[in-house]
Amino acid sequence: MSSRKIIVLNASDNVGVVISNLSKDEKITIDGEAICAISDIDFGHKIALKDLPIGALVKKYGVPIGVITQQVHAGEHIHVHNMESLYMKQFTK
Amino acid sequence: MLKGYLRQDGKKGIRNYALVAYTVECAHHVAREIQYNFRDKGVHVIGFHGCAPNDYANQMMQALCTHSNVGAVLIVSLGCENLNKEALEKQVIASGRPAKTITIQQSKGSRNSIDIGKAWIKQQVEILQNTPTVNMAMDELIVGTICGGSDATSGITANPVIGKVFDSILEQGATAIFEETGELIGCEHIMAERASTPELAKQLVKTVDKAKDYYMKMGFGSFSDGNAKGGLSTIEEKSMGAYSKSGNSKIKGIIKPAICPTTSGLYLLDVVPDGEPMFGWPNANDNAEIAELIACGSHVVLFSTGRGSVVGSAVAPVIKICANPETYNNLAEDMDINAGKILNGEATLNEVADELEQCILNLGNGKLSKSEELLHQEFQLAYKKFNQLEPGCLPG
Repeated sequence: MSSRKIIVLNASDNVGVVISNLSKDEKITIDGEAICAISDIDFGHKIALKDLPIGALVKKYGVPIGVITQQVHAGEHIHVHNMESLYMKQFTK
Repeated sequence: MLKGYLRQDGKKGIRNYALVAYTVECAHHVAREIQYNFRDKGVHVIGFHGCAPNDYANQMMQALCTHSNVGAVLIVSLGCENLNKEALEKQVIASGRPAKTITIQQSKGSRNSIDIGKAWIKQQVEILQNTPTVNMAMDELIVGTICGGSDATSGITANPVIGKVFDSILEQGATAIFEETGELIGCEHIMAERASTPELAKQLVKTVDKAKDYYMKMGFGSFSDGNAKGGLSTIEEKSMGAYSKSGNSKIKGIIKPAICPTTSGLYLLDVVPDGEPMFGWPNANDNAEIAELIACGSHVVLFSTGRGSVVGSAVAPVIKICANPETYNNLAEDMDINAGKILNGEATLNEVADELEQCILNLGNGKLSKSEELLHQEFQLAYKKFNQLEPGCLPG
């Protein structure tokens, strides 16, 4: 890759952090595996590195940061619409 | 080596500020008018808006008025409020600092009170500006940290940079304070592994559990819509990013607002009130937490921001470390450090950490931070209630 588009903070993570806006259908390579962005994903947001079923733990920094609430495919944007806190709900407008 | 102002108790400050401290909102205008022409001469306004009594507010005001960065205090009172201004003045005088109280109801009203206050502040500023400094070592420095306006970059760039600087200054004998237990929800067990005693480990988990219960009762976690727009999805994701500000050093103890650490080391400041929620959110905004970090003795506060906060504070300088390169480009005049360049590959984490440590040293030698240059002197103090620290919180 000429420039990094996503970073994976810990080897055990199942999401990457987008550090340069991704367009729908854009292909990125992580550890030799190609992933295709299913939608536009903005800077700072998370992308699924693999398919994740409902109930799967989302891992970032090597630790669980929440649980999947809707089936997610590799390359999909992971955010408040398909995951939630294991602790408490959040305020969003 | 730093340059400090020596106080009677042996502590040193990196600034020699005069405070105009109002003791109820009704005296705020008079206090502001007194300070206005001196606001670029190291004179800051702090105060408490409430009329009904509150122990926490008394303790915060006393801690701030005797802070190492403060050299003189003018108390501005309306006259019928309940904040203990008598005890406040007594404490300031006992600490070797000049103090004066103006009671508006006994001073022929606003104009005369303002004139008396200005004359006194003018005298004090001349004295404070001509006070010689003494050498100050790193082990006499207390540094606090906070993050505000976090986004997904905060936990990748600015917060780990602060963590590295914390580890470095702690090794040099300094004291460091991190806070906001409501933003450590989800990290309590990994944090407990860093406790210096088993009792402290239990207290660290208990403190975060208390925060969790408190926020549950309030209905939401410490998570704003801006956090979500920036890519953070849950409180525990935000927490992991925030937690990295604390570095990797052993945790020495837990403190509460207005309690200064007695020995050097790394401390967690518990900012969440004890008991049932009584006065609303633990902290209404970042400045309420910054004021608490300062009331625990912080000479300087390291503020990490992704979305882009512009605030500073009264009583102690704030260094802003911008996590997001795009935000930095928008708000460069407000930011001291551009940690976003780590994402662009223009600098490593270690290089930015060195830059931040140098920035702290420069500030400790009289250089102004961006928020100081822009005269940001925000201050927030609300009603709160705390119990005493439990056994095991402080080193034995």
